Amino acid sequence: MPSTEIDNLQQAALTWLDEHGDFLYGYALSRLGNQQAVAEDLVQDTLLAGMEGYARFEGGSSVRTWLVGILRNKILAHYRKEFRRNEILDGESFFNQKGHIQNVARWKDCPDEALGTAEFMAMLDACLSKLSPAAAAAFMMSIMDGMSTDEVCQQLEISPKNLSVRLHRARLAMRQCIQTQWLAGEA
Amino acid sequence: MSFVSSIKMLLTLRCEESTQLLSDGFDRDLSRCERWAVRLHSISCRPCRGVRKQFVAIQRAAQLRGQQPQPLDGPARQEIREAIQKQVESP
Repeated sequence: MPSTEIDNLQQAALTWLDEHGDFLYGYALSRLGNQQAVAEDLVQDTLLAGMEGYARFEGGSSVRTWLVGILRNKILAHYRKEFRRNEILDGESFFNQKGHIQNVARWKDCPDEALGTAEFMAMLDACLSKLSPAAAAAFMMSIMDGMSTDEVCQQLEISPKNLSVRLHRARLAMRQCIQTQWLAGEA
Repeated sequence: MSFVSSIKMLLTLRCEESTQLLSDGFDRDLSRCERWAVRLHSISCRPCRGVRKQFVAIQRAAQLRGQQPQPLDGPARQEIREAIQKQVESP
């Protein structure tokens, strides 16, 4: 590649870093259980991948949307690689033989205002990191990203039924995990 | 769904199915029958009433968390800048 084209690509990527770096970092951090080093790495990988793939970017969406798409895929890959060992939590039986749910406690002093606090967010972060890859992917895309069922199913290549089961398990696992943390905090 | 299956569902829902429908309710419209099934189950199941509130809390908190901005600090930004400048097309 001629050196002027390389310069242009580097210039473009440096601009992306300026204009979108903070946004991408915040996006990654919130979906990676607040792991700063991982988030920094994935943002870097995203910008480098953007440089490599820029020729194929047709400009159909905004640059930010395009970069977020790349980053999202890298986060999904991270889940698949690093959250593999979490399968055990996801397989936990939340219901007894009669189909009744177990271990539901009242979260005392957990009003709406508590939800936005750093304390609650830290619990959310810790528990997200314990989800299985399948549950984390569904949780991120459907709930945090607010993507439609169709979009999520298309990207993950699963059926709507499969997605609904994943989200159910993800919500049950998060609820259980957060409850444990919340109750420990009350003590 | 047939009338008989609807009645069956309304009367015999267990926590497992009820919480599945609670979860689904965040992502799609439930049918009238499904909404009633959850309500009937919840009348006599305190844990599931708790679960509903907790699912709502998690949904809200997750959406909030997903929007939280966070700036890259100076050293991290510099490291990325350098990586960009080092990036050259491989032969």
